[in-house]
Order: sequence, then structure tokens, then C-alpha cells
Amino acid sequence: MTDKKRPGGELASRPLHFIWIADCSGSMGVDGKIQSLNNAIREAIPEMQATAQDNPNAQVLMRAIRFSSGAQWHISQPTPIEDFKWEDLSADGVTDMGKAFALLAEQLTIPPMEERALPPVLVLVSDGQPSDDYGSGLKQIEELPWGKKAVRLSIAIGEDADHEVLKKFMGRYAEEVGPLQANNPSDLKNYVRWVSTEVIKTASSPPSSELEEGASGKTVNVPIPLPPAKSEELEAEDDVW
Amino acid sequence: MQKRNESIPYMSIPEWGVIGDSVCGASHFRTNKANQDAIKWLPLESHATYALLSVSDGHGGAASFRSATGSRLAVEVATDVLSEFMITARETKNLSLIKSIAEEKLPLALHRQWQQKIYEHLLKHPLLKDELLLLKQAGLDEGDLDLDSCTAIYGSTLLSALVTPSYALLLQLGDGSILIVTDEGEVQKPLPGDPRLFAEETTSLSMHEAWKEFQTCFQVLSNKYPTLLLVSTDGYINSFPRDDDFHRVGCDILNIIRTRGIEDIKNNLSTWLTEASHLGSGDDITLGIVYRKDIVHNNQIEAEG
Repeated sequence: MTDKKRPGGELASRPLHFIWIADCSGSMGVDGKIQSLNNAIREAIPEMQATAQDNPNAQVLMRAIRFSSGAQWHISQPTPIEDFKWEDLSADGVTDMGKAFALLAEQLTIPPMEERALPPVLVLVSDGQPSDDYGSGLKQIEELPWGKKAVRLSIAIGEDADHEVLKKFMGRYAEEVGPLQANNPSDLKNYVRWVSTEVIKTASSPPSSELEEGASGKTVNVPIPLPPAKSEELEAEDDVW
Repeated sequence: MQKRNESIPYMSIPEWGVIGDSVCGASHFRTNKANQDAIKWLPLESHATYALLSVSDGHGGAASFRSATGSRLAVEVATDVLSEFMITARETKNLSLIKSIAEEKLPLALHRQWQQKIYEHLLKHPLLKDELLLLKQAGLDEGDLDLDSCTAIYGSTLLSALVTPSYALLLQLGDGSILIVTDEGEVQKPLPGDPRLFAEETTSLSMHEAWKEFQTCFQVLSNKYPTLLLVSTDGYINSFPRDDDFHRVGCDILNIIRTRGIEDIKNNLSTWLTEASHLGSGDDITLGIVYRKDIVHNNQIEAEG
């Protein structure tokens, strides 16, 4: 661009952390839920990569937490979306959602989060009710600046998912979109695709907004688009979960 | 140059120059959105012993669809208010009094006058049909519009630097950065920063009590003057992964002025800022540079003359 060196050090796009928090309890193994989730995430990766390519000013970094009896990082290193590969989850055990929240909270402090990062996107996927004290883990997230400012979304798989818990996780985003209810593989695929593309698109170049709430009518710091309508191909009687 | 001031034994009163530029962000370019930043400075004349520079960053969100106008009005108001302040302050030598007026009265004056300009603009240019739609999409109806939500449409930050023979005054509302560079190339950050300002949230002129949110820094200048003051919107600092990388801008610009001259900065600034936006934040970037003219090579000054 210029034959003379520009002032300043290295330039870099801003990191956008995207974290899946996946329920891998035994019930996720029923009716192919866990495999549908694996398929949906894997199939969404190319679109996610294309979306990220459209905005080179955000570096999308992927990670995943799995929780069942305990919680672990399924993909622990923030992985650039262009290198991201999905490793299949398997289902077994109970629903220690609180432990997953506590694990997540450890990573939302500064450091390891960068001060100049874009608000992270956290997506919780669950089909049941927490078997541990999820409240204390959630409190840890909400007490952290990046926890408060994160885009927190959830996908409820099947009718047994605990919407109240998912809403609490979503915080102010529950008023915007509520938990996304997936009753069949097609719904799940659509919602996974939506968070992987439309939400990433918005979160990767959010506008500034004033700190004070109320005057501008805003309730969340990163406004997100409306989620897709439920699949037309499958009516309620076709729901499998 | 003016005659040496007896109260400044080591250095005569310096002359100041200002240059700056504002570029549309790479992400705004991709979405056909206009630059929401604004910049304005004085002096426009040569041989001035003062400098006044303001930059502003319009929020650009769905609820701030007139923020390009908001930022333009912000720098105009700042230029008017601070010029008047500087002229009035010349009548006193009491720097403590000037400092207290600057800290206590100026934020309120800046906020009130910006609000006044916004109301006048809105009266002259009522919301258009498509703007009413944007308002609705942002969760507001025309009937809900009160004074605060009117100003939110124009939401903007404001950063100003005023340098005179006897003091420097810095004011900052919202994100962005003000840096001071010394003769030795040391880069200082005179304002402490606000830990609440991250994740794209910022204090703003559109806040109900915005005047309370200003950060100010008043420095008495006697025998040592700053060499450079750099005032920029947050798109610039967000283009660098670390503070050190950003602070290097200060000493690099000082070196360029000393070795290649101010014209080199003028000729390349737009390109540098555009490159920073493309490879960095993607946001609009505005940078204003107040420089002490005695650091510029003599040939440069002659060329300017």
C-alpha cells in the first residue's frame, strides 16, 4: 500500500471467541440426538468458514466444552475457524451443567481473554435438566465482564430440555430470541447453521453502543438477527425428540 | 516565533501545527456505510502558539443512524466551546482557576451545546420514513421519542486536546485514545482509561448525564512542552494486538517528522490509516496529530512559510 513503513507495531484482526457448550448426558444418546448434533456442527463448518472469510477483520476462534458426569474441554485450544475440525461427541452420564459453566468462567477472564476481543459467542446445547448446582457456575460467568458482555445463546433439544435454566444462561438474550427449540434433526441443523453464520456475521462487526441502557432502547450489547423459523418440512407430528 | 516568555527560562513559547485524517473503515466499506468519525482542528494559520484538536466517533448502530452527523456536530461544538474557553482564560494568569473551570464547567458546556445542536438539527431535519423504520427496528416508536432517545440517534464520543503557552487540557468522553510524546520519544497515556469501556460499549454524548463521564487532564506547561499529542478514535487502537504496538505509533511518527518531515506524514497518513483498518479492526479510523513546530526540520518550516 505504501513504499514507506507505516507507524506502529504489528496489526491484527480482532479475536472472536466462539464456544460450544454441549450436553453429553446419557439422554443425548437416545433417538440419535448426539449424532444429530455432531452432524449439524460438522456440516455448518464450511458455511462458518465462508462467513468468517467475508469479514477478515475478525479472527473467529473455536472451542468446545462437553459436560455429562463432570465437564471437560472437548476442544481446548482456541482454533482458527479455517483450521477447525469437529471431533464427535459421545453421550453418557448425568448433566453437570454447573461444572461446565465453572470451566467456561475460567476462560472468560482477562487474560486469557484479550481486552480488545470482540464479544464472545457462547452457545449452550442441552436436552435435559442440570443434575448439579448450575447456579454457582452461572454466577461465576455473570460476575465476569466478558461473561456479562458475551452473546449467550442456547438450543433446547427435545421437549424435556429445561427452558428456565437455558433462559437464565442466556441472560438478556433470552428476551431477544429465547432458547431455540429443536424437536428434530432438521431444526437442530437450522439453528446450528444460524448461530454459526448469522450470529457470527453480526458479532464479528458489532456497532458501538452507549454504556447506559434504556435511552437507546437496547437490551443487549450485540444485537442479533432473528432466528430462522421452524422447519416447514417437518410438522409437529414428525418431531422425534 | 514570539519573544521568549520570562516565566519560561529554558524554552521559548513554541508554535504548533496540526495534521490529521479520517478514513472509512474496511467493514463499513464492505457494507457501503459512510464513515461515522469526524475531526476538526485549529489553528488554520501559521505561527500559532496554541493548537486545538477534536475527534469524534459516531456509534453507527441501528439506534444511532445519524451518528455521522452527531460526530460532526461534536467536533464543531468542541472547537467553539474550547476556543471561547481559551480566549477567556487568557484574561487570567491564575492557572488553578483555569484548571477548575476546565474540569468543572467545560464537560457540562460541551454536553449541553451538543444536545442543543442535536435538537436544532432534528427540528430542521425531521426523521424520514426509512429512519422511522430504523427507529422501530431498534425497539422504539416515534411516540416514545424523548430528549434522551433523540440524542441516542446521533450518539458519539468526543476527544479533545488544547495546548496553549501555559497549559495543556485534554478531555475524553468514550473510547479512543490520547497519547503524549516527549522530546525523548517517550509515549505517555495521560488519562487513566475507563475499565467499563470494552465489548463495543462506550460512554457517549447521548447519555443522560454525559458531562459526568468526561475524563479530563490539565497540565501546567512551563519549561517543557509536549512534542506530539496524538488523538485517535478506537478503530486505531483496536487495530493493534498489544498496547506496545499501538504506542509505537507515537515514537515512529516523531521519528518520521524529524527525519522525513511533516509533509511525509501528510502524504501518507490516509494510506496508513486505511491499511490499519484493513489489516486490523475494520472500523473507521481517525487520527489527529498536534506537533511542536520546532521539531520539524528547518527546510520544512521554510517550505511551509
